[in-house]
Amino acid sequence: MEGIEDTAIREHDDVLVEQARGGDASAYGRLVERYQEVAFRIAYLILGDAAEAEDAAQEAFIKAYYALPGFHIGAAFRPWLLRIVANQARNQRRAGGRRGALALRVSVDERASGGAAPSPEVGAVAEERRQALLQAIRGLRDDDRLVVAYRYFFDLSEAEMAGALGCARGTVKSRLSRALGRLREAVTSLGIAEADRREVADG
Amino acid sequence: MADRVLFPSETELEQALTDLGRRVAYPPTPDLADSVRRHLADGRQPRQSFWHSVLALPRRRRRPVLPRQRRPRPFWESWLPLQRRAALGLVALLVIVGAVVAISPEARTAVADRLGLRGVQIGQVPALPASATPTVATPPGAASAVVPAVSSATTPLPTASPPPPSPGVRLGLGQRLTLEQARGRVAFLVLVPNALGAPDETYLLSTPAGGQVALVYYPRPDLPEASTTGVGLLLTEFQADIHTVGPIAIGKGLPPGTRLEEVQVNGGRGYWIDGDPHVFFFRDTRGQQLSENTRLASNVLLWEQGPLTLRLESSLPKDAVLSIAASVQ
Repeated sequence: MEGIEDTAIREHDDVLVEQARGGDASAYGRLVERYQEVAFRIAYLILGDAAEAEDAAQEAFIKAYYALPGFHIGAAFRPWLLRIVANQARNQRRAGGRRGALALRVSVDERASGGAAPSPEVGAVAEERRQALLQAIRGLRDDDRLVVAYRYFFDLSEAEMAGALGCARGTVKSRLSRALGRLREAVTSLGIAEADRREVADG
Repeated sequence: MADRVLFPSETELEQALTDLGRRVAYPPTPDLADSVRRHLADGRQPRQSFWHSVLALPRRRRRPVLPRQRRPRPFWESWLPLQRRAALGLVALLVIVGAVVAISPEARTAVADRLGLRGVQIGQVPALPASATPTVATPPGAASAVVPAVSSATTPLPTASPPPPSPGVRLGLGQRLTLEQARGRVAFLVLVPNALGAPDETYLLSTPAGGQVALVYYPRPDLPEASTTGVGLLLTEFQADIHTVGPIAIGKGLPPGTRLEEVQVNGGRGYWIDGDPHVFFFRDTRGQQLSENTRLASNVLLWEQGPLTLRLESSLPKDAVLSIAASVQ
């Protein structure tokens, strides 16, 4: 369900969109400021390169500006924009003719988890799981990675995901579930490979 | 031995993902607001059509009509890259069309009053891209709806033509029915130009809401083939209600060489469009999606008659078209 905060953001977005449609570039600039981080990060998850992601996000904002007349006031701006961003990034990569190696890293800042510092053993297990998960995510195909990222990295609601993915709300669940299934498979086979490697190493 | 099951339950996997999401070290976000403002201030247009971005249109490979084994590559297959460029060029133009028409609820009616009819959006565009001129873009679902409209200076003239796909497929007109069947499927009274008699083919499309009926007349001495449609005359009609159909069902982007003239047809408002081919598209009114149907059109009469908005496309001059339109009832 949409909270008061979401409603407020949407209404504010609507005002900015209306002003931008009227040619107010600074209003559009404020929209860019608000969404540039998520746009850049989505592009980065697809392109795997900061410079390329910057280019894709910038181009997507320019395209979105010219597409504003087609934006339905009252709809959420963020998923509408993210759809443009994701497609721009995909097209850009396709045009580049190469598959970017996604250099996803995990921050070493333990404060990110919000809790107290874990014991070394617990920390090591958690780190192993994180690395396996990260590697599995890197290996996912774009569509799956995007669905997973929208849900768990960017905390998009089901409705927002539908908008960002350009599919019906009912389809979001099944797409997410399929992506998680493939992620689980990947992470399991990574875990098994790692365990086998250790067994061999331990003799 | 290490634990082989890293995430025994769905919940654990989900929690691990959420946790990971908070820890991903992205490169620092660049300041895009400034650069975007600068680009827009310079009047920079998007590098390529926003259409694919907005709609996530599948980049289909166009397949030839009736592919046959062991035959030399048909000439029109070699045109396909051009088709794609043309389609891209056309949709890029539609960006401009979209940009010139505000569609806030208040503006919708104003726009319809000023330029356009119920369910029709007309906008001026600076020019058609050179690559768009010789071709007709492909409607969705067509195996290949590509029919060269005019010969291109850079493309060799064909020596033989493949069997054309049906007009319904080529022009994205919908399901083929008899006239009687179509009449039974829509709530409005389907009008026919009495001057021409019964149509050769009838189609029904489910969009815009309420349905659109298309009447196709084959080329004949009094109806020479129109290069943009490949048929003698095409008449489409739909019930355009701003509240049920939405603000726009079809749209037109007119380059400078296209003339637009306001006319009266059977007591209703209308527009006569001729001169250079113009961009014709229509909007799928479900949600915000714009239909992929985009093509070039030449001589067109658009008018309102009772609750209907009608569109007549042919190669005929204005007077001949107006007299056919006058017989529509």
